[in-house]
Amino acid sequence: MKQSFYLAIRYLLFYRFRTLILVIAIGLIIFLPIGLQRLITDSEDQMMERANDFPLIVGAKGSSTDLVINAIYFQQQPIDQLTVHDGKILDETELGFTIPLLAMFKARNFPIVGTSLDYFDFRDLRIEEGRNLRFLGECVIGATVAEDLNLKAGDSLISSPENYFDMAGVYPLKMSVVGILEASGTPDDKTVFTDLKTNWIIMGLGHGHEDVIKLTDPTLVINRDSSNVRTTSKLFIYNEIDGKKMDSFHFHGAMESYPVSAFIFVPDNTKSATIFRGRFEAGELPNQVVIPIKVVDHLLQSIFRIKHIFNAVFILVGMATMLILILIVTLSLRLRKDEIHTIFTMGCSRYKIVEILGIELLLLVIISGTVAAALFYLTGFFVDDFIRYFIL
Amino acid sequence: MIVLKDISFQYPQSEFKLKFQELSIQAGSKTAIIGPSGYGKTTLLNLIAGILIPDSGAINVGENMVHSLSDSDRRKFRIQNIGFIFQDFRLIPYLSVYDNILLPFRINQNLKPGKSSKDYTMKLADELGIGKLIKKYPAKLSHGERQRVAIARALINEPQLLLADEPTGNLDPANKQHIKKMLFNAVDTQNATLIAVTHDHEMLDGFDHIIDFKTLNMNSMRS
Repeated sequence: MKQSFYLAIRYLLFYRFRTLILVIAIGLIIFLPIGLQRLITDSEDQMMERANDFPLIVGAKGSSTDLVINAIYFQQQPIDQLTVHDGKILDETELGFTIPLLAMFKARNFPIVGTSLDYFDFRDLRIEEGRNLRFLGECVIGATVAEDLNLKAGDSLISSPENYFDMAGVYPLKMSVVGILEASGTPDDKTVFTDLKTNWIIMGLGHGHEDVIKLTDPTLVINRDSSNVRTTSKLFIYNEIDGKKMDSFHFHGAMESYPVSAFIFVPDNTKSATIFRGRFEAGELPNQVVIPIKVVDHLLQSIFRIKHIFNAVFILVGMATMLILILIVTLSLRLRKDEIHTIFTMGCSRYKIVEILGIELLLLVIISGTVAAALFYLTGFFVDDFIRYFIL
Repeated sequence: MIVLKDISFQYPQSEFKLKFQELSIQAGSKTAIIGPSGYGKTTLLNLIAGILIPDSGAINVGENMVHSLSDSDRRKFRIQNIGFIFQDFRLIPYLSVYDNILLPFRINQNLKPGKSSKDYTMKLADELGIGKLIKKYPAKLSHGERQRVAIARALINEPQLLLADEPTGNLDPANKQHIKKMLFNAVDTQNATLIAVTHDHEMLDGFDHIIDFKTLNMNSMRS
């Protein structure tokens, strides 16, 4: 047996390019069905687990799927906005409490989510480094954001402009990173958290600039009266909020009308949740309320129906590949007819010849299986990307 | 002593038939078999080696009655008693010179490659002038070098009988004489019997016996 192994290994090593191609082909055929199955199962588990953590989501009427995707996975699906006032109406029911969410912007491809400190308690998110949000212009970042962008507490992070060509659009805001969250293995790891007001500043609803009352440069002032100063666009708008500039930041208009993407509603108990939902169904409360787990379950059922098609395709591809492998082995035996005849002439038994060829095939399958197992292991690292690119 | 008596052999679905009454070859001798192509010279070697079984007749190689041995016993007989040299070398392309020479030890459970066989491989390689090529693969060797590897492989199990089928068939004249000399030296050293098939009359010098399929008391024929 030892000598048969030796000869089989010599053969595979000598024809290493042919061996490599066979290993890749067999490895992929083994990996693809089980890898996809794992991606689907892990994605399903991860999404359901996340959805299960959120009792109720209130958002503007429209697609419940888009609402849930925006509110709990922070994927910035375009959804109609609610207002701060809508949250007050929900709080007035006294059936639980609300946590606002505003997910509209990004910082270097990671979503910026404006919320309140209640969110951190509700999600049991702990600060690993630095401190929690305290002042305007600060952000707390998830563990993955910190790792990927190589940020630590005390660094700064600039929000991404929405449109490079829109001079009147949203200005990038340089935020201070004051804290880094412990890794939780959820989308929170890949999120930049700010308070709502910082988000509104990014939106342009609030801003900071030089004190217009003290302006003396005539090129900055268009006109001025006792209650109002109109300035030219030359007036410098701050893009960073620090201690000195903090006081100059202010908001225009009624804050109750400011936007919020959705509210997490945390009911006091099951009965409160039922009553709360009943009020929406009865039309006593505006907008819509959804149970995330139901929405996600429905979404996954629709998406994973395609899994059966994949399975059928993989079975057919697998069968075709096995036939090709049989053909390759047969052709290989034909090519090796002289070699087999030579060692048979020299006194090698048929059993030994079958043993050598069998070990070659077995080694190929084992190496391919190892490749498939390695790919299967690596698949675990891509579940988040799979969810982001193929499901959400 | 190798004795073949009342031999009759015909390949299935073939018109070719080999038939003769008696052929004796002295142990330790060098015998050349000559004759035109298609007269059964290679078939005779295969019969002596037990690769083919005669339709009738007896083949005795020393004390072995080859014709009556079982399949596995004939294989054992071959691997323990016979060394083969083929016209087209039949080296294994994916094995180095060293592994090609040692091949009989790797394909037979009764022969385990130990230190003595590995040392003998190196000794044979040195004697045949291929000691420096030991790590090379057959594709990188010249015709003459390949034939030397084939000779070393045939001698590695120290066979009593060496069967050579056109051992110098693919070589240039200078190489032919050189290879023949090496073959004779090796056979003399191991005190083995050499039976070589050839159609090259220039190579017959030095053989103890020459069997001509055409003129000797043989009855091979094409019906």
